[in-house]
Amino acid sequence: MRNSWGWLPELTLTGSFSLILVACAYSGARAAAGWAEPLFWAGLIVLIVPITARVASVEATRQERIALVVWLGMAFYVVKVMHNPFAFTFPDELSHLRNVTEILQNGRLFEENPVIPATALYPGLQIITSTLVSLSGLSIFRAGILVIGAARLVLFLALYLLYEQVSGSARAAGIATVFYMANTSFLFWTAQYAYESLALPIAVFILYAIARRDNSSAGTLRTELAVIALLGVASVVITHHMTSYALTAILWVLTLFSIISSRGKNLGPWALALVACAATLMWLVFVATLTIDYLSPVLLGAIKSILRLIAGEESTRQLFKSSSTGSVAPLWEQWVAIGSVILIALGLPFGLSQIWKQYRQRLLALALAGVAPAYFPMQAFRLTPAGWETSNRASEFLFVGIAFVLAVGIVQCWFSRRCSWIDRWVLAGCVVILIFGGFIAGWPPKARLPRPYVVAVGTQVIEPQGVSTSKWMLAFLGRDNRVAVDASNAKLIGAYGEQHPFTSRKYGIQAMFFSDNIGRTERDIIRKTGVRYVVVDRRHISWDHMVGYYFDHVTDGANAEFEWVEPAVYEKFDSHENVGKIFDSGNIFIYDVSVFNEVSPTR
Amino acid sequence: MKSRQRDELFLILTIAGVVALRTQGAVAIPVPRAVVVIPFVLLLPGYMMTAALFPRREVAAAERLLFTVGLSLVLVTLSGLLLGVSPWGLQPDKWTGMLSGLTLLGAIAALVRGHDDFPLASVPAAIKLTLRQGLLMGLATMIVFVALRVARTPATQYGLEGYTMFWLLPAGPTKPNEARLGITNMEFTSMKYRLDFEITGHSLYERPFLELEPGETWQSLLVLPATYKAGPIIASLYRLDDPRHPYRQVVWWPKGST
Repeated sequence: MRNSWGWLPELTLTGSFSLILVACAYSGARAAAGWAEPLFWAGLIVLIVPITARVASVEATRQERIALVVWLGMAFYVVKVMHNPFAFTFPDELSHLRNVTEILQNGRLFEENPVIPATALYPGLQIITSTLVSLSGLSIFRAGILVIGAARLVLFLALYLLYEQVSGSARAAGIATVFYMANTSFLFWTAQYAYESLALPIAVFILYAIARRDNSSAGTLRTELAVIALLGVASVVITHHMTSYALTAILWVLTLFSIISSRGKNLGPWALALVACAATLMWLVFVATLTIDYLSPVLLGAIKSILRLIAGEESTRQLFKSSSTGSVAPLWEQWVAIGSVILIALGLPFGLSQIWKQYRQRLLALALAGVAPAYFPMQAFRLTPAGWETSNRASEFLFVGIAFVLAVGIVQCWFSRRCSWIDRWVLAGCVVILIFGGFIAGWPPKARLPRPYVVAVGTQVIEPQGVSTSKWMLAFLGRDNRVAVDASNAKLIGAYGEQHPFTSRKYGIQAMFFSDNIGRTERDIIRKTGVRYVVVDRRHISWDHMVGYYFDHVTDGANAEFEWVEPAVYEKFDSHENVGKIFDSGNIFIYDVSVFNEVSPTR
Repeated sequence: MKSRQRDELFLILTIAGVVALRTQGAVAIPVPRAVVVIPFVLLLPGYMMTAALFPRREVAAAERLLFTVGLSLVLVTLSGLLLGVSPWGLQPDKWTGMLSGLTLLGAIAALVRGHDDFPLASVPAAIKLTLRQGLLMGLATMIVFVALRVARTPATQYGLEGYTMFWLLPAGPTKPNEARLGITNMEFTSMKYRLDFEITGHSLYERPFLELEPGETWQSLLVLPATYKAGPIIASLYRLDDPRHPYRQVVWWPKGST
C-alpha cells in the first residue's frame, strides 16, 4: 500500500529521464543533427503523459497532486534552462541583464536602459537579482535563473491552490494547473529572465490570497491575507506594467460581481482594487510615463491591424509560414496547433455550463469563467502580423481562466461518468496536443531548439563573434557610446558591451544599413542619432533578434536564413575618407563615423 | 510559548545573523557564500513573515511553502525599492542590514503573536518517505543534474568556424601619432599570422610571423614614423597558410591626415 506520496517517486524518475532525452536533443541540435527535433518532442511526451494521467486519477492524494504539478512545472523550467545553460540568449533577457548591471555599478534604480527603456522603470526583477549577485557573488545569469526558478515555484503552487480554493476539488485543481501549461507563452516566454516572469506568479499568488480570504470566516486570517494581497499588489505594480493592469482589471471585475450578486451588500475586494488602481496609475504617471510610448504602438498596432483586416484593407498573415525564410511548418505541426484550438473550443462550453450550474455563487469562479471566452477573439489577432505578439502574450493571462474552465468541464462532465485508465491516458494525450499546440503557435520554429553558443577548444571556450565583439567594445571603447547596429547585436552590445545601441526601423537605422552608399540621407541619420560607431554584421540573420547570436554551421550557406549581405552594402564605409575601420572579426566590422558628427575621433 | 518553539526561533535568528556576517566576510565558515545567501534572500524573509502572520497552525505545508517563497520575493522587491530611493542606495552592507532587520521584525512579531508552531522540526515527519521512495527521488535528482551537465556540454567544432579579432585604435587625443594594435585568436586551432602596414600603397612596416594559441591575445603600439605626412594607415593580417589574401583588415585615419 502506498503512502501519501503515491507514485511521485516513480514519476519524478520518469520525468528525470525525459530531461535526459531533451538534453540529448539539445546537444544534437547544436550539432545540426536531424534526429534532434523528434527526440525533443519524444522527451516532452515522456514528461507530460504519465504525470497527467496520475494527476487525473481518483487515487492520488492532495499532497501527491501538488508535488506532481510542481514537479511537472519545474521540469519544464529545466527544459528552458537547458536551452541555453551558458548565458541569456532570448532578446528580452539581454535587455534585463543590462538593468542589473546598472544597479550593481551605480547602486541606484531607474538608470537608463538604452535597449528597452521601459524595463528600467519596473525594477522588481533587477532588485532581487542584484541582491543575490551582490551578496552571494553569483553571476547575473545564475542569480537570474534562481530568481525565475523561485517565481516559477510560486506560480505552480499559487495556481494549484487558487484552483483548489475556487473549485473545492484537489483533482480539478491538479488538472487545471496542468492545462495552464498549454498556454502559448508557457514554455519559454514566461520562463525567460524578464519582468513579466516575476510579476505573473505574484499576481496569481494575490488571487489565491483573495480566494482564501473569501473562503475564510470573518475574523479568521482575513486581515493577514489582506496584508499579503496588499504587499503583493505593490510588488506587482513596480515589477511589470501589463500584469499590474490585468490584476487591477480582475480586481475591479470581482468587485463588480460582488456588488451585483449581493445587491450592494458586499463590496468584495473594492479596497484592494482601489489601491491597485491608484498605485498603478501613480507609478505610470510619476515614474514610468515611457510605458505609454512603449505599449501603445504594440497594442494600437494590433487593434488597427484587426480593423483593417475586417475592412478588407489588409490580408491575413499566412499561418505556419515563416516570414523570413518562406518555409512552411510540417503538416503534423499544423494539425497539432489547429487541434489544440479545436480541443479548447470543444471543452470550454462544457466547463462554462458546469461553472454556471455549480460554482456561480463563487465570484472568483465566475471571474475566471468570464475571462475564458476572450480566447476566441484573441485567436483572430493571430491572423495579422501586428497582432500575433499581442495574442501570444495575452494567453498567459487568459489561460488562468481557460485552464480552470476546461478542468471543471473534464471533471464534471467526463470523469464524473467514467475514469478508467484509458480515459486518463486519453486525457493525457489531449494535454500533449494542447501543450505542443501552444508551443508551436507561440514560439518561432527557428528558435525552438538551441544553436551552438560556446565551443570548447582544449581548455578554452570560444563564444560567438557578437558576444566577443561586445565585450571587446566595453574593454577598449568604454561604455555608453552611441552605436548604430543590427537587431541581435544591439541586444548583445547593450548587455555585454554596455553601449547605447540604435537599431531597426526607428531613426532609419535599418534603411541606413541596407543602402549601398553614404549619401545625404545616411549622413543625416548618423547626425540625428549622434552615433559614433557603426557595427556592421555581414550576416542577414543578425537582423533576427531571436537567432542572430550564435555560431552558424558552415553548411548553413545553403539556407536562405544565412545569406550574406551584399558586399556593396557592408563595404560602403570602407571607401569614405576619415571613416576608420577600427575592428574586423570576419563577420563583424566596426567603423568610427565620428567624422559625420564632427566629434573628436579619438577617446 | 513552548521552549522548543522558542529554541527554534533563536536558532533561526542565529542563522540569520551568521549569514549576515558571512556575506560581509566577518566570519569565515567553510561554506560557499551562495549556499547561505540564497535561503537568506529567497526563503528567510518570507518564512518569518509567514510565522508572524499565521502564528497558529492555520496553513498547511504547501501553503506555507507558497507564502515563504512568495512573500520573500515580495518583501525583497519592496525593500529594494525603499533602499534604492534612499540616500544609501543598493549596497551589499545595506542589503544585509535590511534583510536581517526583516527577519528580526518577523521573529519579534511571531513572539508577540504567541507563535506556537515553528514547523522546522516537523518537516522531517511531514516528508515521510520510505527508503525506496527516498532512493528513487535521490536517483531522479542525480539524473536531473546529469541532464544539466549534458546540456552544458559545449558544441563540437564540427561544422563550425572560429574567427580572429583584429583591431587598430587611436591611442587618444594626447598621442595623435600612436595607435593600439591587437589580435585575438578565437579560431579552433593555433594560428600563424603575418602583419603588414601600408600607407598610400607603400609598405610601412611588417611583422612577418606571429603565432597565437586559441584564446590568446597579442597587443602592440603602432607609432607613426616621422616621415608620415598624410593618408590612411591600412593594417592587414594574413594567415601564413594563405599569404596572398588579407584575412582581416583595419584602417586608421590619423588626425589631420587629409
